[in-house]
Amino acid sequence: MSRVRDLTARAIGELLRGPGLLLHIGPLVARIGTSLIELVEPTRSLYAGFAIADAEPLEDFEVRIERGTLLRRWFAPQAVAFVDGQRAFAPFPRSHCLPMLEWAINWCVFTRPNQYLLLHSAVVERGGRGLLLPGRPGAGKSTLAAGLVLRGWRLLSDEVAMVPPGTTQLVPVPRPVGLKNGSIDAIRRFAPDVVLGPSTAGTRKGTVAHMVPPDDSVARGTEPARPAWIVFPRFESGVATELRPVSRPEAFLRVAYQSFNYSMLGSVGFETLAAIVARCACYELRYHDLDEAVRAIEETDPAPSRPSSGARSEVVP
Amino acid sequence: MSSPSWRFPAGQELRWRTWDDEFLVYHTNSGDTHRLNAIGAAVLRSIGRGAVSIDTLVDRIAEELRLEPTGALRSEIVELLARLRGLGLAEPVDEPGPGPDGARDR
Repeated sequence: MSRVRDLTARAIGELLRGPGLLLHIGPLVARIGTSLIELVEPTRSLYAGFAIADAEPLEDFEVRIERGTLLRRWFAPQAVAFVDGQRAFAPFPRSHCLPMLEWAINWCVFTRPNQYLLLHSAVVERGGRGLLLPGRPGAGKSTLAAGLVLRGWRLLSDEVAMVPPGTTQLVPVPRPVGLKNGSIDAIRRFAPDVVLGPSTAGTRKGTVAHMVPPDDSVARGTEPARPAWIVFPRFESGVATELRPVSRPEAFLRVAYQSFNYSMLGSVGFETLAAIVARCACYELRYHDLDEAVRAIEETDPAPSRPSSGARSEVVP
Repeated sequence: MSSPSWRFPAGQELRWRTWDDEFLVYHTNSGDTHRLNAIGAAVLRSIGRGAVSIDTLVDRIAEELRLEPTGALRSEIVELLARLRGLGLAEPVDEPGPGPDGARDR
């Protein structure tokens, strides 16, 4: 199976301008296209290790980033995102095309594959045991996930945990890891050899850059993990690192609140998430220093207390 | 004055998960998920077994959870029943159930 890095920049550019670049992203197939030449090299580097899908009759979604209107080609040029042929999102500065491509792909992954329970969480794995890092934007989950990955953990995802209903499997959907503002420098200090894509300043989230996912994480994109920890990161400037236990009911509700489709799946979603939580030791991690945060997690024994008991269904006639 | 009775509304389904002394309840009909403490869970289970007066509820829960059947416990149970009613998980016995089309007589 060929990978993006096996193609020349010219070949990638032709695919992007034409039929699109079909990529395997975990269990999903994404078609990516653009007429913007400045996206060719970043796409090539950020997705270098990703397998190119054969021409599939159906991809899961298509994202295209195209030039804005003729009027805005020369003055404050804009670009537009299309999802499955429909214009999506407001026009944005052309200089923001790379983060917009990633955010458009994120949006598709968050909203389309409802055959899975989708949790707003980074997911990493070591020794067969998966760690969920749920949290809203700005909580520090992507930064912490990046730090763990740079210490040898496998990346399953920096944004979404995908769980087949009725199972406790964490399905990988590895992508470039999005970093913002201070976390970009934090990761560079943490791992000076880290490979990052170009930084884009002035976006609605500030300055954004992406960490290239390790080849091993991408290559193992069909290998699920079993959850063993749930850790809610809370990045706070200047705080001492503190890892405190969280009760399973609290963890359940916090994860459910962060889910993209928990309410859509009904009781199956409830039972699936309950089974996930039952397997996990649950914590909240307040941190400022990434080194200390990574160490705190690595020193934690994820063996949970006895699994949930008393699960039952009651029907009142 | 007789103690009013409460019951779990007909046709409702709950799914439970229990961890130590905390309870999660999924209400299938509404899609809502609720977190209950031991008293809340005991009240919901009790009215689920059949209509029960508040006096009996207080005695039952005091015995089950080894609490004193005080006025404070009664007040907590009364308040809890009001909240459960708002969530569609409890109803006073004198309240008519839904008609064939699901509408309630008013």
